Amino acid sequence: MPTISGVTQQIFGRKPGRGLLLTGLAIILAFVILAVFAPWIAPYGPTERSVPSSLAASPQPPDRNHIMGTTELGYDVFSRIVWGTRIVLYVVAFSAILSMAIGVPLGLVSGFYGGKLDRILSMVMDSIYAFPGIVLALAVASVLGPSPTNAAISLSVVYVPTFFRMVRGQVLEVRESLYVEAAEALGYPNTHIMLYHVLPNVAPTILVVFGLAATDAILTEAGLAFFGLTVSYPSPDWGLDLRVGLRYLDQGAWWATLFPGIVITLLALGFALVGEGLGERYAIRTER
Amino acid sequence: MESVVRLEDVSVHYYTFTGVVKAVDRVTLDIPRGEFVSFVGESGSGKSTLALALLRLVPPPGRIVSGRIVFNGMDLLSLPEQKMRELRGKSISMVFQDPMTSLDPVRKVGEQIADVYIEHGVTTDMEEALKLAREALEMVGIPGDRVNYYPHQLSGGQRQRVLIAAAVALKPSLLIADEPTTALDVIVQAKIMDLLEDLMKELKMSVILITHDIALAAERSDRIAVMYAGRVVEYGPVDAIIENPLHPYTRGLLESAPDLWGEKRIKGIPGNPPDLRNPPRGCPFHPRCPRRFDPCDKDEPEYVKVDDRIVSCHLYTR
Repeated sequence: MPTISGVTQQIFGRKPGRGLLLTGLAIILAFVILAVFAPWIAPYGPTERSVPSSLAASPQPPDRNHIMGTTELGYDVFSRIVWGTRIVLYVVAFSAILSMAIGVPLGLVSGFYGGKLDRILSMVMDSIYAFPGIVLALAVASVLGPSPTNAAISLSVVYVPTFFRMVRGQVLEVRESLYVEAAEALGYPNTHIMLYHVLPNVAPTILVVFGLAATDAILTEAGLAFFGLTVSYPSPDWGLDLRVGLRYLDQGAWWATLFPGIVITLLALGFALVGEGLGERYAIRTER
Repeated sequence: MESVVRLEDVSVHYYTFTGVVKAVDRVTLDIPRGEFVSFVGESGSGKSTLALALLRLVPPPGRIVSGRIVFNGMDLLSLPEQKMRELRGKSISMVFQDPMTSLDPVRKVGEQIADVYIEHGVTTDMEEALKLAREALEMVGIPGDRVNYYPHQLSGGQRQRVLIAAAVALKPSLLIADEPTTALDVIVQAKIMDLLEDLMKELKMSVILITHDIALAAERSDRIAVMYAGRVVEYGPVDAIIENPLHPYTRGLLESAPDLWGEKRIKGIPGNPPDLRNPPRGCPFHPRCPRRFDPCDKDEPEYVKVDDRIVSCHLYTR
């Protein structure tokens, strides 16, 4: 079993990719803090009319009380971004974990046993993989109906094949290794070999793919939200705010679109850095 | 003479895209209980495939196509897979060539030995299994506290000891060692071979050593089986074979081994081993044989018993 110091050593030790990894983790951690402590960090509620009603008809530019300005209904943009972090992180974490929970076991079994099962699963996964991610997610989400959980499920459909393909490829490699042959010669059942020999040796790959899938999930989630497939206005979600902000962008209200756009990019960057850092550390090539 | 394993007419073929490779071709022999038997031969002679066949672990596209392997009275080739798996590691164990890659890099060596006890139902308690693993390590000459080491923290010789510890943990009656010392230096090689001999006596095992090093085989074995092109061309007690090789190939092999004082010229055997997809007609060795005569390129020689040896060569067929 890995020890606590072993894990910290893995993350913080002077190894390749350390800078990328730490920067990425810091960004993600910052957003997690925003989400957890939203009621204390956000100056207003997400749907609180935070300006006097005389001003509420038009969006107000950033000032001392509203560092990122307000929307036309008088909502505080900064507060909405803080509260919106909760939805975004929920959808992203849910979808990345769900697609990992499905894709990894399938890839493991498929690569390990090979044969007919492997061919069928590979074909199914490849045909899903052939769709552009956002189109597929939009299609599934509109069938399931708008809700954060449904958005997460439709994103999972997109990332299951990513996990499947990467894990299966690695399993094929590990399966040929001498230590697997030696384990067979000691009479271990296949389940033992898969869980104790194959899975730990593909674990770094799983982490890297997790980073990549999460990065993509943030952007795609924003896309789904943009089309109103996560929450319905006025609940806060970055992608949705982006679209609502577009309505009065031509009135010069740049702040209502710029800031949600920045946080989407920043969080995606955080996950991408983690994925890249892990990839560099474990020298894992990722073909996407 | 009671045998631990008896091979009867065992053939293993690899079905490749370019043809059927007869890696092991109708091998018949007896391994006496409690003896140290070496299989010697050059690369591609089928000795490793034969070892894997004993465990029924020949990798695809290979298949054991015929014969019987009788181990302690059971025909291994007709056992269900589940039963065969129970025998592996418990009654028949194997140690592989390359200790650097035969251990799982991400698990502690103690856990890897403890697995043997758990998977074969000796105990269900990991603590207990680790205690047994510690004893197993000590038996092969590694301090017990190394259970917490990862493979990369051990030297090649130590890793091979760990693998041996796992292989003999359940006191198997047969241990197959496939070139266990090829990746190690000579000093370590001698120590590992000593360890194998000690364990053999202590646990009353039989040992099959697969090697291309005929000097090593001569020094350690009770018996030698010489393989060529998938056939056992000569099999018998080590002294008889070394002093008076019957088969021309055995003679050639012995004459190819350098001696320490350099008094003898290394002769070598001209030519190359045959392509096993398309072996020569008759005796597979005849194109390279210095003593070939009339029947060699027509009929395949049968096994002939000469004293306590068997040999497959037309020189002795009548």
